[in-house]
Amino acid sequence: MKRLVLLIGLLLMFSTFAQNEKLQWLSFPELETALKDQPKRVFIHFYADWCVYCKKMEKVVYTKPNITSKLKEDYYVIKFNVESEESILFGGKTFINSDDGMKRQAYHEIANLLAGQKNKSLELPAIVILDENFEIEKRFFRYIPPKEMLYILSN
Amino acid sequence: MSLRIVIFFFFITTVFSQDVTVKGKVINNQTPVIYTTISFKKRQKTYISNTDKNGNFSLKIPLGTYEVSSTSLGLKVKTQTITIDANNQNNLKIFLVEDLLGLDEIVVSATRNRVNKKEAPIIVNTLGEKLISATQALAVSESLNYSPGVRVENNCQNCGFTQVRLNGLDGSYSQILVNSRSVFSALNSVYGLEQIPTQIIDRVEIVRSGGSALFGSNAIAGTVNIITKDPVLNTWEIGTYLGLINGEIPDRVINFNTSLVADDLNSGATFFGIHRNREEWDANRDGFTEMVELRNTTFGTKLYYKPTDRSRLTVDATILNEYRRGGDRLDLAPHLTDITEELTHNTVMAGVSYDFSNEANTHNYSIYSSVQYTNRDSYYGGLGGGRTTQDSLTALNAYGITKDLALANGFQFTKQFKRDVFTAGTEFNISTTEDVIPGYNRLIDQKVNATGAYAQYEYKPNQKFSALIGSRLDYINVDGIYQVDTIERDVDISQVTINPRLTLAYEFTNDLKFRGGYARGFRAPQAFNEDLHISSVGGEPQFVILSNDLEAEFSNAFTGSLNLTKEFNLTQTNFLLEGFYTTLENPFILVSTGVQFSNGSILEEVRNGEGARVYGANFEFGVSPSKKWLFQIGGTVQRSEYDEPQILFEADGTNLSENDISVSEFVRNPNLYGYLNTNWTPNYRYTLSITGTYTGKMTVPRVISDSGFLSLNESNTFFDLNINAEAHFDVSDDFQLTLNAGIKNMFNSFQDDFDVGATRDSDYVYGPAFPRTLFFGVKIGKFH
Repeated sequence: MKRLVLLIGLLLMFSTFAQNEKLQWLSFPELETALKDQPKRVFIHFYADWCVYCKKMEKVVYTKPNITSKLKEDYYVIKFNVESEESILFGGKTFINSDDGMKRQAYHEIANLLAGQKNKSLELPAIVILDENFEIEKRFFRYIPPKEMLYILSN
Repeated sequence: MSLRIVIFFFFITTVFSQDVTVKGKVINNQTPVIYTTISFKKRQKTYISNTDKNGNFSLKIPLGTYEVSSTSLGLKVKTQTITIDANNQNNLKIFLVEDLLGLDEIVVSATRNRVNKKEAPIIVNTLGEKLISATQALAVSESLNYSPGVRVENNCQNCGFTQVRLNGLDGSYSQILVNSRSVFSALNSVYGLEQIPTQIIDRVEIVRSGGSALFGSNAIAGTVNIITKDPVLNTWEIGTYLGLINGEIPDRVINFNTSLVADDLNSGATFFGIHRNREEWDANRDGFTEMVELRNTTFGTKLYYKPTDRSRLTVDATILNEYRRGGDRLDLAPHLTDITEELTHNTVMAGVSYDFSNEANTHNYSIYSSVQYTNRDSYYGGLGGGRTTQDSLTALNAYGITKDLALANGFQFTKQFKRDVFTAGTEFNISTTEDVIPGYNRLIDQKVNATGAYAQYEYKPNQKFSALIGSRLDYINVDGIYQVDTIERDVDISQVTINPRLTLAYEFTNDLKFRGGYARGFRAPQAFNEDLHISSVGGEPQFVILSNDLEAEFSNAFTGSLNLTKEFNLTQTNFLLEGFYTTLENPFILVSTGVQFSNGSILEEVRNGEGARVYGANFEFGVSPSKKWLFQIGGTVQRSEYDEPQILFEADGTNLSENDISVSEFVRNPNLYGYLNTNWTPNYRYTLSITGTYTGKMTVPRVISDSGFLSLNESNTFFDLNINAEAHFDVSDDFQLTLNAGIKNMFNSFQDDFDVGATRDSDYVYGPAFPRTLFFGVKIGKFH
């Protein structure tokens, strides 16, 4: 019995520890509420299922304790699949994937708006950092290794 | 620049009594910017308004000086501060200008460093992982059929040697590259294509015709470039495959690969291994194999390190051990059987390359060096149906040893101009081959030094037109002694050739592109590929030797193509029509000269023919209505003719019923062949694919007497259809499972007139490589 209690205790400890490590990715509607509640900088990671460098970032960059703690402290973090077919209500407006069913590479309006570049197709992974007023501060269209990410987040 | 999207606002602060109504217009390039958001910021407070459909806005704010900004994408406010006072509150004009700052942060990463196929001046056909898995190809050679103009041919019952024909020209007219480097040596190209495991391949790029100066001087039919995978994620994978050839003969494969890549992507390594064990198959129950026994173990690694952001060091190494044996009574020692071809290859391949570029990434340099060494134990021979002391003695002496060393070194420089690209480089290749079979007094001792220099300019004066103008200068030195029994030949030549290459491309519309090209190529006399293979006919070994005074062969290749690619909503279509015309001067031709030796061995000589023309058309049509469906069909219609009737067998007059045999067209080469490829992916989990190849009628020579006398037979047509079903399961984020099963050559469209017995012609093989074969596969691991 004692052993069982100990085991459960250990498991609990482990699970809380694990939770601490993990980032709380928000959805856009959640972000809206959060921003109204308490303005913060916003960090958005745009990805697609086929983007292997995006996956690499999720596996090795957003799991580093110093990066997750920095992100948690100073940012609201959002992860968005650019090929998402969902309609998203944000800031009083509905954003849709208008290319869905029309084009092979159907990118969501939100992705085109925040990560789009003039005369260029969307490039992934795309990382967009916005200030407290939801104005774009920095944008990156490439893989960012952990060290550089830490530097970017701290500046 | 109008943006329909409006970004919301968060901080609408309380409206104070001293607020005034400010009205204005947002303008970019004299046009109003509609539905954009304008924010006015003063100290900690931000006031936001949106423009209407005319670009007008209005908002109530206190008087004062503000910082103005716009969320309009790619635009920014020209004058960032504005003072609102009694005189300046109506008809405000806010000018937006192009924001170039945001573009500064775009850095070209490896992810995007790919050439757009549509824009390339030369037509490249790519075979990807998807096709390789759809055809369940175990070796590269099996998947190459699925590209227009390419046909993989099975050449031998006793040893299972294959070669690739491009536009109907045999293997010696094309260049096989691994990661764009020519590491395949003369010997290697005999079995090499069978020995590269498909799991390490990212894609195979096929270029027909030698349109680029970067390709070797012999690459007149084209190049096959095998690109191996570059790892990004940490993954591992273990796979097994079981095939039942003709429903009975097991073909077992187990393989693994794993990749480790640093978090900063500055270093990484891939390790892979494969073991294949296939039992022999006797199709016509005559006691002699139609498909050889095969055991292959390969282990390799590829690793890279990036000392800086602009440089990269890559090292690769592969060790390969292969055993194959065909003939009869495989359980006995080779010299006690009627026919045995037994080969044990031990091959080591290693390469190192260093790539670097300048800060602006406009000058790229690449230095590489690779080495390949093969030690081959061979047995080509047997009693041949005889049981005399002489037969036993001959059989006992058929063991041989081959040593083959190939070195390839090179330097390449690329300079990117605004649009144009200049490429120049040098190559230095050495290859030495020593093949000794003391019993036959057979010796090939050959040393080839080849030095090449090339330069090429890609000229793009505008969006529509581009030209690739280049030339290569090749110096080749062949020093070889070729000996069989009492015959000895030697070659010692040095030759310098200039091989110009030109390609023009013109884009009529975004969807329709024309390309045309010319290439000159040459081949120096040397033992190559099948010259190192000894076949068995009439129970006797058949040797190949270079004739006296063999001269270099030259070729001129012309191509022209139209490529239409169009998208209709979700539907993608692609249509390619390509014509080719190649002339060969002094082509190397194998001529059987009948029995030349006291022990009954037959001799074939490589001679210069009069000349030949190969011409025809390739086509490819692909439709993909959605991501779920893909249909592709392609093929070739061609003629390959000798200028004058070409002798294949020269009668010596001793047997009055045997005359000279000559042909007007190439043998073993159909005038019509093609493929189809269909893929259905209803969802993430399942994939179903149907692939097939069609091979038209062709003339196949068959040796019918022990003097080497030939009969010319016409083959049937073949339609080889394969089906494969695959299911993918994500057990967890870190563990996945893939199951597949299917049938190769469903209709069992297969050669039905194999030669029989100890005196058979082992080269009388044509058509699809496999009879009906059932297969099952399991793959586990962390795939992504």
